[in-house]
Amino acid sequence: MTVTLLCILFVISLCQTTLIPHLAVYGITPDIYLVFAVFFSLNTDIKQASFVNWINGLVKDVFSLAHFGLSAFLFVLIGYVIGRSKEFVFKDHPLTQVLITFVVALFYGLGCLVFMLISSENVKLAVIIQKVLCSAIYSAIIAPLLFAVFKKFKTKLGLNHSMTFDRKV
Amino acid sequence: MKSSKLNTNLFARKYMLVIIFLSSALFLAFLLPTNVSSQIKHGVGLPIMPFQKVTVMAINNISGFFGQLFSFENSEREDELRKHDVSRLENLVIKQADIIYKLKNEIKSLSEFYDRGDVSLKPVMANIIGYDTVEFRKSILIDVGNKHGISVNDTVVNGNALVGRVLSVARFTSRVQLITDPGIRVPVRVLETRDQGMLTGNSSFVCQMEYVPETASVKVGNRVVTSGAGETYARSVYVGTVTESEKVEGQLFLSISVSPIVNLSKIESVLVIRQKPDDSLQ
Repeated sequence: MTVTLLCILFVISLCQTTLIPHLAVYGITPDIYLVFAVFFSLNTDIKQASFVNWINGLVKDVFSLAHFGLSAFLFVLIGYVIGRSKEFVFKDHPLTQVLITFVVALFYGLGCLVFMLISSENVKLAVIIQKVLCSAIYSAIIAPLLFAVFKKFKTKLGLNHSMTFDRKV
Repeated sequence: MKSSKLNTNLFARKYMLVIIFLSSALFLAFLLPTNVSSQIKHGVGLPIMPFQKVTVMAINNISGFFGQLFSFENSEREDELRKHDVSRLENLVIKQADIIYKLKNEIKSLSEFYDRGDVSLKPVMANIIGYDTVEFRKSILIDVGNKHGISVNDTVVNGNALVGRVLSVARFTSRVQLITDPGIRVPVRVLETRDQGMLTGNSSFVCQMEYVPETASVKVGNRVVTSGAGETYARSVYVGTVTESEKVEGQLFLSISVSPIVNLSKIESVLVIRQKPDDSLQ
């Protein structure tokens, strides 16, 4: 599982730092790290999701100018919140994946915005909020496609839970 | 009383892992010194660097190939139907043209730089091998570092125009903070009116010029250059042109937007102006 996870994070990092900027629409790019965090959180328990999301966030921070640990912090929160609420959703439906990714991307973007405000960086609220919204939409649109790709590695990642309702009766 | 204490303990034990991660992530974000985190970032990112280089080269070649192909689409429609070896040769020519175009750009960029006649500045050519992973931050990773004499705060230009500054350096790579990043502050002046201000990015394609008094007569189309104040940035480097300048009621300063002269999303290579002299390059 560890090797598969590291390989996936390696490929995601490579794509996000080299290929994805070329797919930017008006400067907006999708976030594959975030989609992977959502996928993992939806398919495993809170503890494992928290740990993997923490690693995922740290890897994202390594290739960014942002505070080291910022994405790790937000991804752990995302893993926790999705882990608490995933039993109420039907994970397999593309619409669910789109909606969850959109909401999570909004949350992540606003989290980043708060940190930027705390660290007294030059923040033009209108521009950043517009970016958060557009990026969330872009990430949400490609989420079902990426979910389908990640699903192929489910067994290797040790995610053998049912992809339907998890609610225990 | 006892039961509430028991519940708290249970909660803490149950979510211990989450709490530990949250605390460590917060610790990393706020308490880790910037130079330490930069070194960690460069160290962890090092194994991926060769792959980034290869991928970026491949992507640039492919985009160059398609760019050339689409521009000749009409005139070469018939040629596409010809034999396989002919098209293979054409592809080779296009590839060569792209390389020539890239090399010409590099030579032009270097010539423009040397034409300024400022021999005290020592530029180093660098290729972009990676971009920032966070949407709101604007930085690039370049393939030169300590080994090439690069140091923190070196000015980064493309042709004659400002791209950003070196924020952290490793042995073979450096991270460059672009002028569109919200964390950057560049002391600038308007070329025509000589008014000084501070250029800041805001994650978009346009930068803001702040602290220009409302009495200044800055007009749309005026050129903005680095002022050299603070000595972080080389002096008189072209930054961009004023695209908006208006007085806001109740404000002491003008609201000025500056459009960078360099298209930061399209550049493939940059020049790093080294501050430290290096005898090996003289």
